[in-house]
Amino acid sequence: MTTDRDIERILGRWLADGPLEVSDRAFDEAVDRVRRTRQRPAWRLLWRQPPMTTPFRLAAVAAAAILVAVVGISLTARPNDPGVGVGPTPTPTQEPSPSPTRTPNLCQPSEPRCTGLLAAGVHSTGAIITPFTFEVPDGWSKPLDVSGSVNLEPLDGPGSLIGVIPDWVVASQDPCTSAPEPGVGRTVADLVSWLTAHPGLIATVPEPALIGGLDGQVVDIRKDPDWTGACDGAVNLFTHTGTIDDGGSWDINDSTSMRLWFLDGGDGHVVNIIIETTPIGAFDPFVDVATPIVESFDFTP
Amino acid sequence: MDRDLVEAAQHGDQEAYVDLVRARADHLFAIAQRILRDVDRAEDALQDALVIAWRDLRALRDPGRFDAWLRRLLVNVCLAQATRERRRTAHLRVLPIDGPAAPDDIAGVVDRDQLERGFRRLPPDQRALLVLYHFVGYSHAEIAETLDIPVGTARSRLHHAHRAMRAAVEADARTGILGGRPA
Repeated sequence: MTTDRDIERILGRWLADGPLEVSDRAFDEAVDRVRRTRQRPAWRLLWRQPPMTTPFRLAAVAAAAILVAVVGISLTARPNDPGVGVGPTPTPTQEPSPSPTRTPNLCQPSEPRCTGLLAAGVHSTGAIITPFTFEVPDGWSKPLDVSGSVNLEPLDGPGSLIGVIPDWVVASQDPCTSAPEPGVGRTVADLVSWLTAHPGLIATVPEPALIGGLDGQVVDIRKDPDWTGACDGAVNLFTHTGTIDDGGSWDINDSTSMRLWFLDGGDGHVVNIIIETTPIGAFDPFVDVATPIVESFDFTP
Repeated sequence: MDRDLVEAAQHGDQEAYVDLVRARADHLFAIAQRILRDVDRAEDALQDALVIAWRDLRALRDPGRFDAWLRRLLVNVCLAQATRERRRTAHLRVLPIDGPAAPDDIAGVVDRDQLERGFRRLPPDQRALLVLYHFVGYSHAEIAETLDIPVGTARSRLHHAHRAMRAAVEADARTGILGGRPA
């Protein structure tokens, strides 16, 4: 019987064992192909750069349909050119695709331990040590529900999530590891003070918050792009201690934005909720979608 | 120095580009080989990635991000290739690897053949996650950037990849026991 930790320990050594050098022949062939390939001009590439998220795609489809309709109408119904002899052609219209792909295997509200696509409705968590209920509309999944973390993710937003993580502690800053940072407390006030004072972060003024019966504070953060620290371009944020599952550390890089709630769970527990998006421009729209879900959380027994 | 080479290559200097990628080719090949588990396909993926990178190099706004950009491109090429290959071979039964499969000192828990078969059972994106984390040594943030996902998503996907790998290895062990193959 293996454990997850066995697998993690083994994989690094196993993957290190294998070919490390490309053959001269393969590299030379690549160089030959490069020499025969013309570079694309920048203007052709840059307009393709923004990611085509679902809303962008729908907007593009709608714009294309409108364009086709306008052109079609202008060609077939010119008031001064009635003699074309062809009746108005039905303009092809394209309906936006109705919703993300569905499968019949939805987690139902009666299945708190189920992970995967969620049926719309009120669900319970299954394994997290600070259990709660939450309500989602269609189009959401729960890919992770372990003792140390629950993730909720929209099906049409691969760069976004809502996370609930109990009992964060500040992670080591230098060296940049998942060990706790010495000298920083673990209360709501301690965590928020540390966060808002971090030189590598741009944070909003913390505001009082009440989520699911728990009081606390909420703050938005992103990384200061000019800051260079010990964590390879990211700011190390929080980690777990003890034995709860999935206790890796959390960090933030230049392309990520976060809204963080720090809630007093009583008995020394702090419940942390995170709304996280990549890229930064996706933050506000996703907050609008995710906030009703966060506000549906109920931590009371 | 490399920044100069990137900028020169962006202006069409092929020699600068060749110098730039020559120093990185072995590492990129090693990543591709770990994801695809095949030397020939890894070489194909590397060639494709280097050609695409040259073709689209002018899209790179920050020359200082060249390495991360190139790795991301390579991983995407590997994922596309692995997905195509997976579709093509989805109907085939997975055969045991020839040769002895005795436990060795890698873990004392599972043997290399079990790991190989278990890893090949994973979807390509999970393989890429595990390679970036365990072989390249990326942090969650770097994986997130490479795969264009949030850091939290990278963490949860990595967690699932470890679970899936463990399940695949255990399933392989059961198959071995049932099928009489040395486990």
